Amino acid sequence: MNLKRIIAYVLGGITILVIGVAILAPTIVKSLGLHPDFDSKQYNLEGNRALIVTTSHGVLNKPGETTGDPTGVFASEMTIPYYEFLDANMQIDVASIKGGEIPVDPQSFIYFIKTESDKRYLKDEIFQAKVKNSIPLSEVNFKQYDVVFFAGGWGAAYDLAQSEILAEKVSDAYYNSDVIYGSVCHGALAFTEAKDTVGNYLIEGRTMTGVTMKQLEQLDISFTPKHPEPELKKAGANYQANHKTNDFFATLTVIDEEKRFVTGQNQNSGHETSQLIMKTLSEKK
Amino acid sequence: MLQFNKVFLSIYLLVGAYASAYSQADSIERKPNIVLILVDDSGLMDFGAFGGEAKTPNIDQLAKEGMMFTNMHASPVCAPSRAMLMTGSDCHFAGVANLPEMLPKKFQGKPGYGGVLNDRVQTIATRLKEADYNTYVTGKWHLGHDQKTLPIKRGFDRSFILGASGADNYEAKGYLPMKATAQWYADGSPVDLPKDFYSSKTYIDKTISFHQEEQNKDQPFFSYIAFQAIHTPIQAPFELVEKYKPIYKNGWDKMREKRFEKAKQLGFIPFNAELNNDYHLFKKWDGLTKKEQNVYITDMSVTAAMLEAMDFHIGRYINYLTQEGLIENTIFIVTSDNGPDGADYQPMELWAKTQGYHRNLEKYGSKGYYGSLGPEFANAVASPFSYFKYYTGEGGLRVPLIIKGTKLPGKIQSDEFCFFTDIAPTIYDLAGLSTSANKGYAPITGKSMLPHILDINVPIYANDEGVGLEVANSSAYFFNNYKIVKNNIPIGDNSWHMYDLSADPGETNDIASSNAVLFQKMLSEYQDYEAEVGVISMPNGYHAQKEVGKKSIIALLKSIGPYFIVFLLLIVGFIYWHKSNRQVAG
Repeated sequence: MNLKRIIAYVLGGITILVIGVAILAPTIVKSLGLHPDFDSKQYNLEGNRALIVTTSHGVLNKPGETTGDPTGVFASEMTIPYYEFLDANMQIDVASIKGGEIPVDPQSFIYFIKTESDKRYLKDEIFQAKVKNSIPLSEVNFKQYDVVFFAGGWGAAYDLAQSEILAEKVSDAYYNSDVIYGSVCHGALAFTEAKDTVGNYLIEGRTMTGVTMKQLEQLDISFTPKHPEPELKKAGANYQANHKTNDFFATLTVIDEEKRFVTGQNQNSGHETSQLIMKTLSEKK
Repeated sequence: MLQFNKVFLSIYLLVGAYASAYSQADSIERKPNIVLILVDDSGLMDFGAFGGEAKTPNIDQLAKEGMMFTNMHASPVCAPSRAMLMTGSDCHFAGVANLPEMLPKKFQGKPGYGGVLNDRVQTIATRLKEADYNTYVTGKWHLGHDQKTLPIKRGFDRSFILGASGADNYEAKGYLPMKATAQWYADGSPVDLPKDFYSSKTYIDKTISFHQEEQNKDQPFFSYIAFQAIHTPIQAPFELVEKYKPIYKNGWDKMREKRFEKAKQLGFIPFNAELNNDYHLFKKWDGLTKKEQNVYITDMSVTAAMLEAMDFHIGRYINYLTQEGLIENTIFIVTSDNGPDGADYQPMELWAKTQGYHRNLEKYGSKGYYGSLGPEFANAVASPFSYFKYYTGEGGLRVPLIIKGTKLPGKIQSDEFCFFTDIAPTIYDLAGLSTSANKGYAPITGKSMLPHILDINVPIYANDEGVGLEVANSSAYFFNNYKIVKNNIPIGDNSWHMYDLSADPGETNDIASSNAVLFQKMLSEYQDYEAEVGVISMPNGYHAQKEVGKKSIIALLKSIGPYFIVFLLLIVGFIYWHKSNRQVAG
């Protein structure tokens, strides 16, 4: 066998391998634990209202810089709860810290990461219109909703915990309505600055989760300003998380003892967290 | 105007006419006759009284003596509009959510999408039979022409109708390759056209003959006349056309601006309203040669002449009713099924010529003339609004409406929002019938306009009531003065926008982001509407005209297929003959 032929075989083999991996990539990452299927139950919560709140920050900038890769909300963290609630006949509004067009992390739409809910979103002009014209936080009243859900994504590290208005609204609706709060991943940062009536952290002693430091370090984006794990711990929450060799593939959903906060660990927790919210809501009614 | 109306209304109430005219007790004796006139593809401003260029003195008189509505909304497509008009129910309930010819094959026949009136709804004619009305229909029916859907099966005593979506106005001939033939039906059976057929003339002749042949003349009547005017092919008596040419000689932009200014003067739109001119797909008037301009001017003039001819024949009917002493107790309702047709028929001209049509500008309008507006003049006709037929922009939806009855308040212009499904329940109210659907039938989604007609200060829709609309992937939802709208491609962008119609009827300033709370609420309510009526989303990249074009090409290929085979056989025969000749010679 001459050298040319060997090279041709090797190159051909590599090409076939690359194509094979590319085709199988969605199955491979799913089997590793990304966006796991969840045995969803069909609820009918007609007449209930849900609000999904996201970041307005669209640049993954390092400290002291203003430029960086585009980021925003991680699509599935917004689309999965949206469709879980919509399919239960709830009416859903979409808000963001500043209002207007919500930045969506372009990485969420990479073909082997994109979920069925993301595909549905990309064909759904109504949901897209809500994302393009999100309600500014200043104009929403959490008390009008049965569920207020905070989506994560790296953008949320920049503007959820930093918003004083958000912290105030979280506390106000906690005390003055029956709202159930939900979050996944960085969305938990919405709760970390909220205070109770005497000025202590509202989430002190509550069982909660959010994205782990390990996952952020493994993805090499721990330079973002706020991290859910230390912030939740700092506020006195009983922080829980599951770990895998790579935390990107782990997931956990927990509910606090009072059944007011349902939190999911990361982008893999959307279905389970939404389902637990709806279960809690339907048991309450 | 308003002052006058109030005085009029007070007198009206004082003499008790309002209370007695249509109350149960009196109506047993004398229920009002109803004449419902439907024009095809006329924009809000086409009639003279509404600012149009065409001479329509008879319609104008009805408008001036009666109520002129400037905020009536139809569906942007003819058959869905007609279904809503005839039933008062949303077109999806009625089975006519879209036109079959605009529907991709896999959606045809799905619930709500049959394209013909289904059994879930009753027509005005069926309902009025409950009150012993004589019921007549002439003109374009377009809601089915089989034994379940012909007018005779849907409550009409007498009928002379065209089954199809359109046809020649002078002879029995279709207007699109997929509709090369056209069939008329008289009282349920196929019928040949009279020798002197001109659509507007014959429909009035037939209507008058129904009156003359009526055995039960003491009963009230409901007469529905659905003109082919001014649907493509645009055709009108030759002698009426010429005088309009100077009016349109400056082209579509000037015409659009002129109607816009007129709309302000007539109080249809606020003085600070804006006109949307951003249509990059359209031809530029100044870029045309004189000859090309003349083609467009001619077609626009034929359109005006076609309206004039229609109006003339309406005048004949009014005269007949006057002579017969019926006019006093007759209520006229005049409207249009959607905005102007902006489809481009030029690619069809070659086919049309094979069918005996011509584009001879020397014989414009006359028998065989294949006239159409084109998107640019349609856009001018749609002024002061955006978009036209097929689109849910106001230009596709906003149609004129006149309601005139001697016993009803008159000389009033109403800018109250109303919807095409409101007309049927209004008629039921006038006839003393329930405005709700009979048991076992789909709900009547429209509302009676009668309380508003009797007191212009009473709104038709309460401030917590919205109205949804969907056809061919274009959608809208109305709530108070606000509208959210999604116009399909190619002219629309297939995404949702929001407008304040009271300030911006031209839909030039999207206010969605500054009214996000209301915008999202309206989107959710629209979504509920879709679920309630059973909207089926069309696939990505769908657009109605492309679908019609595709079906036309298939029809065209089918029609020329046999000729092509004959042609091939001839060539093969010639080659064979040539070869054998050479062999003989060799």
